[in-house]
Amino acid sequence: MSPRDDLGVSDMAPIPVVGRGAPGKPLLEIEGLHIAFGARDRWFEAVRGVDLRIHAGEVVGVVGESGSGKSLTALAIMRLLPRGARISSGRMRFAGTDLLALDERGMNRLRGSAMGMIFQDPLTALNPALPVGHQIADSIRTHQGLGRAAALARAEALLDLVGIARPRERLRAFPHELSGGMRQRVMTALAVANDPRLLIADEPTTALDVTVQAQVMAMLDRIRRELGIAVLFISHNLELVAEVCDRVAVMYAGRVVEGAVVEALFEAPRHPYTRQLLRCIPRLNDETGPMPTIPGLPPRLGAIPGGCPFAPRCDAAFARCTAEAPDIWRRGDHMARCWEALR
Amino acid sequence: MSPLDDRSGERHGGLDRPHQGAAPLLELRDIRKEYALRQGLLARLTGRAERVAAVDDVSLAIQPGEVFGLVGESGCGKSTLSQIAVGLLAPSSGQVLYRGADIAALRGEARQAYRRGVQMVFQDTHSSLNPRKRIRRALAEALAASGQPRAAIPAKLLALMDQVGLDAVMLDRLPHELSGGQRQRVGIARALAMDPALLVADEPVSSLDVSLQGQIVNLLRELNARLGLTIVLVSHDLAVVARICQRIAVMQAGQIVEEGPPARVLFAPEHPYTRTLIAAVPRGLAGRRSTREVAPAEA
Repeated sequence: MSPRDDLGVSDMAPIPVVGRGAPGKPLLEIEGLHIAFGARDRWFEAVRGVDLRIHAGEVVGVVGESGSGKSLTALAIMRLLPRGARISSGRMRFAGTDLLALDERGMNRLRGSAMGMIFQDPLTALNPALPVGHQIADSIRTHQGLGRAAALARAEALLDLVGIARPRERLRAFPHELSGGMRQRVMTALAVANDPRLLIADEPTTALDVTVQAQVMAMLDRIRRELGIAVLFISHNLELVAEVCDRVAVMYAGRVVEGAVVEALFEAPRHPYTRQLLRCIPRLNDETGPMPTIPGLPPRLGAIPGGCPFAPRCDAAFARCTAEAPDIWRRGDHMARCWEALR
Repeated sequence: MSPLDDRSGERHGGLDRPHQGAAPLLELRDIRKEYALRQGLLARLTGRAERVAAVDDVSLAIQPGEVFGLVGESGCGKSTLSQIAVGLLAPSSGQVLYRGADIAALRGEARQAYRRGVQMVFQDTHSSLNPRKRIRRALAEALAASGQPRAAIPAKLLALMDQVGLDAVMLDRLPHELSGGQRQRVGIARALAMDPALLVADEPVSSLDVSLQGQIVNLLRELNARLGLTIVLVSHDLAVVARICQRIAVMQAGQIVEEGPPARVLFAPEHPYTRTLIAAVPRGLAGRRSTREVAPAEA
């Protein structure tokens, strides 16, 4: 999704934008986001200070393994955190609006209009009892005040946009009558129904087969180009992220440990976690022998070690790594939270 | 370096070894599994309901000592086929032969020997372990079922845990207290408790994070090398299967469309579906801008 000349990376100073409008402020700016789980006086921090910026029209990937806090970060932007989780501190600005200062009505106006979201499992995100055309039309009527017929016509155009054949007939289909790939297309139609500026895609293809994944990713890529929307793409799949994103943030134990433009991150990763993770990806080549692994396990919520949380599993750790939380290494728009990078 | 690290010439052992002479450990002959499509009760009773074949005339021979990979996407019939291989499902037609004998005809001791000899590891470690049983009990019950005398069980438990790379303190944990990777190791230990000759692993790593997948895959390789355990690895992940299997079969719509050593299947695929499957695997930076849509989605 190049040209990638308008990139400002999380934790980094934005680079002047060329060719895509004024440089100016990012569309979405997250600073020092903390999210905690718990009740009463026992709280565990699952997201521990995330900074992230997304400019209009760019695709930013957030990768990490389960428990890294990537999905919580996405849900926090939409203020859809699960019960028991709360934003304990931080700032989030979207198109000039302070998201944390909005009341529920204000958030409802944003959700499904200026910000759209698609989830891993469209079957639970769609209403099983309503035809998909109605669900899309309802959203259009709510946010745009269109009449029934006009909203349905727009819903049909949206189904066509997301690449569904015979869209008029499909308006009447129920979610269970559609395949997984088709449902994800319907979810996308719903998410972009009211001309969002930002689409948050949380593991949108994880439940799909690779061949269907390839189709859905191609569709998402085409749509975001046609509509000019920014995308926050949450995934555990580094290879997929490398294919579609302009910038990438790698999360571990609730923090962004490395952020860079996609080529820099994949060709010259500075954080050992990123390097070790890249080695672990099974690739279609003629390599044999044992698969590379990262020893040990990610830390548990509430038991995140002091110093660098990756140090116990790191192949480059030295004494300082377990003693002190790492400072941030920076070169241009590339950052890594790592003592080894700073050496 | 473990002896495993030296794999020169080991990978394609499945081909180089003269299988023609050796009797297969497990053989599937013209296996077919049909289901009636959900229609009216009357149509089903009268046998006029439309039928769909989940597995459509599949024949396979698993040789002793090999790691065989079965690849395909959801709905291709790979899980149905593996359940038939372990005897959890009966085929609509066709035969399953274990050490040359038709399992449908096995009785008594011979049937027990097949039941123990062919074990399964499941994808979902949450639902395949009883949440209320500590690991010690889950494994002890498996050992008792395998006919171990009670007195031998405590020592066997420790040996099993060691074999799958788990610390003995985990014996006193409940499944939810373990990570996904650790639970999968318990699943493998429980299968090993039966002292099996063949392990059928259905998507054993697909619910694990990428940094942990390798640990389980390597454990399977090690069990194959150390114990001579024959393994059928069922997966949607072509890259994982190609890496550790000596032979792979690609399944589509109930049929095996291509079979061969991984190097041949990956680099000189003959079937169009295999080529589609390979092309769909994300390729990182190399795959940028290669994603192009072709036609509107029909299904």
